[in-house]
Amino acid sequence: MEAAKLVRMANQIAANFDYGPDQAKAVAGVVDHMRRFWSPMMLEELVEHQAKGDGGLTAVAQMAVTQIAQERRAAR
Amino acid sequence: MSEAYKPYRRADDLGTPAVASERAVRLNIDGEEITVPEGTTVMRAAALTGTSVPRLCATDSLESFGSCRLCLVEIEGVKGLPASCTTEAKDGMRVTTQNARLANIRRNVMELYISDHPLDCLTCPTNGDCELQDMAGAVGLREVRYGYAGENHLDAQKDTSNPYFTFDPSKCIVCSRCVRACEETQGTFALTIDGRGFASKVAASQNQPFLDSECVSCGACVQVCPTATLTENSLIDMGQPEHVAVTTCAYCGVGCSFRAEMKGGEVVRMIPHKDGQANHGHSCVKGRFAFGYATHAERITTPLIRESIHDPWEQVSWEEAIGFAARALKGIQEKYGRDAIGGITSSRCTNEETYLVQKLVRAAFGNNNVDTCARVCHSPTGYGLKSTLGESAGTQAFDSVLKADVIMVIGANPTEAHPVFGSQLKRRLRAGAKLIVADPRAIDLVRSPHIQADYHLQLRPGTNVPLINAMAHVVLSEGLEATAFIRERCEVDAYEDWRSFILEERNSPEAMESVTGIAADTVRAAARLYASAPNGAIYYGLGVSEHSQGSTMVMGIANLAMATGNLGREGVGVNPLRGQNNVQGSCDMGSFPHELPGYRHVSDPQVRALFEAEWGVEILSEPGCRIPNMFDAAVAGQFKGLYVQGEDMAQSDPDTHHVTAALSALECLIVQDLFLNETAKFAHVFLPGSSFLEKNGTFTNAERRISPVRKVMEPLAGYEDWEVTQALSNALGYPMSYTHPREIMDEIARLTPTFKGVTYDKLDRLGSIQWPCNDAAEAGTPTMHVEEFVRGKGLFRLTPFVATDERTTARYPLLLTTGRILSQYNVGAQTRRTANLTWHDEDVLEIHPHDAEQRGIVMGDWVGLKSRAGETVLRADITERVQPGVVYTTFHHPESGANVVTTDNSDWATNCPEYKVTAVQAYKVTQLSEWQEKFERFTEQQLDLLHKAKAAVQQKVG
Repeated sequence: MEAAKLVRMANQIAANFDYGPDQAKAVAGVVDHMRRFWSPMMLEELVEHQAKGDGGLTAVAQMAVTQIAQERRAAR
Repeated sequence: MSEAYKPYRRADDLGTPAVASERAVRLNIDGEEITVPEGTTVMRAAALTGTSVPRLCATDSLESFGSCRLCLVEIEGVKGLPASCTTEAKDGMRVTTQNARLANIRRNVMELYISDHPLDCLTCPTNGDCELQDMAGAVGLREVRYGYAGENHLDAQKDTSNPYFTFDPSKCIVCSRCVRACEETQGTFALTIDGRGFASKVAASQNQPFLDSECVSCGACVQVCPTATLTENSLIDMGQPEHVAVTTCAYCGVGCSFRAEMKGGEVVRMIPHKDGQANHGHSCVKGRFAFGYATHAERITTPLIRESIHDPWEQVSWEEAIGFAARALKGIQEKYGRDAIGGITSSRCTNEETYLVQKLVRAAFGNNNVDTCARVCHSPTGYGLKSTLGESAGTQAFDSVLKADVIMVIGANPTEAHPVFGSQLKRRLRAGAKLIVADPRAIDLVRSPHIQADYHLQLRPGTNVPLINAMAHVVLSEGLEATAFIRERCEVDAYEDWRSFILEERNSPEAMESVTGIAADTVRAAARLYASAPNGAIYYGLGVSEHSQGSTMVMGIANLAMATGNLGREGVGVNPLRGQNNVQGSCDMGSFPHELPGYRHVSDPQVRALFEAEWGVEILSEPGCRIPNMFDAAVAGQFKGLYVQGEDMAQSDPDTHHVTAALSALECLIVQDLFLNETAKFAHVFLPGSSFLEKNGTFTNAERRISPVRKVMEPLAGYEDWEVTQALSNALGYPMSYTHPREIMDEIARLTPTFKGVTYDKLDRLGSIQWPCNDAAEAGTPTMHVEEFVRGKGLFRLTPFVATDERTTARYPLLLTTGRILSQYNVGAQTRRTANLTWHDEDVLEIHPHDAEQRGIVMGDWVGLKSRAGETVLRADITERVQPGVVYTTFHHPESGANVVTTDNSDWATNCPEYKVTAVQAYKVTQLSEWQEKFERFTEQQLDLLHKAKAAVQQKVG
């Protein structure tokens, strides 16, 4: 799947959670959402995209993807 | 289900409508005592004792009228002979319905009627089912002493303009039932009685043929006409039906109950069922008349296969087709992996059928790649209402609208898209309820006969969330919130967070004025009206969900309802107007990549264990692909096989270029449908499907009402849709051996708590059941969240406005939004194959006079419509229904290419496409677009390949 599309989706989710001063809460919201609704294939592709250093993710989205990457590594 | 096949008999008619009252009265009719609710007429009370008082102008779907003078009775102590239809039963009344005096008067009345009536009974279409015949017989009419030489109406000309019924005024007795039905039942007011005395006649609009008038062809007048004046053309052609089965409509989410009136395996006509709890004996043009598609010549009745989409189709046996499909799917999984295939369930097929498709995907494919059309329409409803209230469904029954005081309709057009509900809504508005309409367009509901919206919030497309936030701001800042309700029923912390957020200045109507385009005063007034109503009800549609913040808006609506205490009783609520006949059902049945039946997440080990035990397989704990993800993965080469049941993504999904690229990239596309639709043109396997007339099962409408679908004819292709899915599952190595859909429902009930008490026997007994139906609610649940919300306490969720990426620019200065029209249904697969084409044989572009003038466009011109996604051409309809800067079209005809222009923008939470906001430019053109020309050529090619298959078979046979 086109990574650019996944980046857009992630940023959109992040924008909808990132409205207050509590950034940690926003990140938690994004992580929970992606965990519940994204397929493993999509999560892995986005994690890979971030790992390669390819840009595009906003701050909150970045943090969310990092957390998801950690979770998935731990689960393996 | 055999109880519901009854030999033909006209439905019982008790003369005048039922009345509900706390008080009862007891009266004596012909020596028999009966107790009835206060307000019941003497006629109805008599009918309840089993006595039919003769009548012609009275019928129990309409208020009494008292014009025919047949139903006169004697009442002790009352002077003269009152009409029993207009006389209320009183305590202690003593009524005589039959004696020599009454008999004489009734005979005289009938004599007058028959003196001006054609005497061609034996060749008349209603011979055998005519109330005039019945009454002549009932009163013992033996002669007409006036003779037949005088002035009469026998030369009146027939009006056959409407494709579905004939108006023969020579048979009219001017009982006014049709006029009253058009007023009370439908609410269109298209008919009137023109002239007086002998010159009285039924007139449509300004004495026009029905087709040219304001008539919407709902058929209510045809249904109530006691003579042959208004008769279905199908009845004229075929004669009287001989047996009846009660079933459910396969068009919209109202889910009207119908009597399928049959001769053998042929449908004579569909008559709305009086006891249908969703429709109470009413219907629209589609359900009543547009069922001919089921037997249309274009129905495909034999399975087809081909290796490549450029090859001609080959007609094969079922066994061969299923085997071919199974081998291809297995091959793909071996080559590309378990997740390379998926399935799409149909929102038009039954609950049992969609349950089997998601079971096929989970058990036979072994993954969670299953999705349904709700993705592109109400998936935000699922997300938003689950999150705030705890259940992915509307909170009320349709009848709840009759108790509403203020009704707010947001992004929905009920008189076009949910017509029978629209009529009920108008009934309530005429009785005094207030109306707020939030829509960029001036829909009919804003102003129509006897209806005027108190506020039309004509917002710019894409600004729903600012509007709802501004309304909530008014409620809180002016102290109109329902504090007690909030404290008792909702999570207090979340409320406090939401409260501080909403009260921020940026959410005020004043701050949002330039964003929405609605004056702050108007927003304040509308919010006050809703918040101060004893009962405030919100109804919404795709104008809410098909946006990049669709889920946010749904939550915003739920927040507003909770804040004003408008939940948990009749007359209020949050009511999503679900579109398809069974989209609610397919969602209930777990047609989602992340949810099992009953909206339970696949990650929940307890839920998985329940299904794993029943199904004997392991179920994946992580979500699968949604439809847009499937397309993206197909284009990327990772997703290669798809089983599509009753869904036409090539026409209905946005960004057609992307969809067709994805479909072309598949190695095996299996389409199970009635016709060779747009998606089937890219398929390798075509499995002929069955219409709603050809199978047993259940549909669930927008009120969570599970209604029976009853088979009245053999499937044209030999199998019901569920049997085909079963065969495919068996061929893939996962055994299924159901012998009847009732067994599938029993399985669903075993595994899904909200369906626990649902059985076919109970459906036969009750007629329909609104889920949840379980031990706590044996007969179902009309109103939800009564004592507490499904999630316990209601959750206020923050709804910050994030503007869509889709902005107007110099290049694309207009905003396109889309919608539906009454006579056509969604992609038009069914309605385009019926006489409904009479009303809407092409999609047009509504454009405001200012915008048209600037571009040199006049009425009827070809207009090029271009967005960053693509370009198409439509004919112009210059109108002030749209505001300057906004254009509008429908999407019922594939060659319109409406979705070539829509983009891949979608809701942040569910990927529901943002059909309602596309930045476009419009300009005058002289020819169709490149896409349309390619589409025409491709369609011709594919039809040719289909004909080759049919010819090949004929050659072999001939």
